[in-house]
Amino acid sequence: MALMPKRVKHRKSQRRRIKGNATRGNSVVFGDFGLQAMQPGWIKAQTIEAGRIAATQYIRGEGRLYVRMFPHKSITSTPLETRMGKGKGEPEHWVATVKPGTIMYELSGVSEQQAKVCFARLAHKMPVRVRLVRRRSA
Amino acid sequence: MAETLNVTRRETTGSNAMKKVRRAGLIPANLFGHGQDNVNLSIRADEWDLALRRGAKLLALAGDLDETALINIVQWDHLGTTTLHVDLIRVSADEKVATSVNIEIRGEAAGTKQGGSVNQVLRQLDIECTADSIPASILVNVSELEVGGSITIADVTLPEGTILVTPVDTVIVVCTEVLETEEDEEASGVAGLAEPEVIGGKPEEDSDD
Repeated sequence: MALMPKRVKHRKSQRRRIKGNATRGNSVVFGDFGLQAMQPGWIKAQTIEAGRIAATQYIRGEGRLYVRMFPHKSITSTPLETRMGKGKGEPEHWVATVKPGTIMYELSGVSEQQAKVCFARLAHKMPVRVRLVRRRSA
Repeated sequence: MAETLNVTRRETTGSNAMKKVRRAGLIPANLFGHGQDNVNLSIRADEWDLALRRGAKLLALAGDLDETALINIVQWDHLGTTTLHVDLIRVSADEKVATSVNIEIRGEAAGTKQGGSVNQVLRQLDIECTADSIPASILVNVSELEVGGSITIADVTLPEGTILVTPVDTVIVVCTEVLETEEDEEASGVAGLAEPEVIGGKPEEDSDD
């Protein structure tokens, strides 16, 4: 099941522009390695799930994967062959907004080589440019 | 061992002036502590990067100042690659300081050969020691760690003169059995989308009217 909020204040949200860089969630916190977004973008809940599956299939329970983003934003669309008007469409899917610097996934309990391969598989699923980062020492 | 860093006194303050400082290949820094006045400094970015790569914690400031300082807070850019600002605290080399050091895992756990997975729970250790004897990292040998076993701080030998602040029974690393995740993958197929509950929304009975 793709991710989605349990409760929301409003069913539909305005699109808004993604401005600026990530000021929060931009460092590796839980694992040893992280996948960092280099571009702003919307990541669909299905894409987050696809990435999670691609990574867990590779690590096979050896390490631990942390998903650091959540789809809070609903995206609406009007059905095909619908006349103009009649208001905003119905929510179709949910997306996570990522800014440059956001850590999208983290991995722990694996070697750097394994993390590289795992994140390379995962990166193919992502609609934004990403890179591997290591946990910063104190 | 203190890392030597050349610093220059900085007269300018404010975000606009700091942008110019950074563009000139310098990093703005502040030095404070010991009840003395705060000093605004500039550090050469290449020297700073080198000191960080060497794992420096204690710095011997040279150039316009002649003091010893401890790295307090480092501000990074959004990608975590460039240092934006550094806070330094005045210390004397033989002064006791409270700091945190990284825990590094060494060796291959015996449990991994039995199908286990090593998971590091604790990354940093809070310690008290003299400023000139802060260890670069605390090494933990996991070669004898079996599946289901764990290593706590009590099992680690600290350098001489170091006082532990973190509770002794805190677990550093555990070795757990690898769990199969196949059923999890099957369950993750996208089912028919249900809508989330709207906070303060009308109940369904009212909408039928």
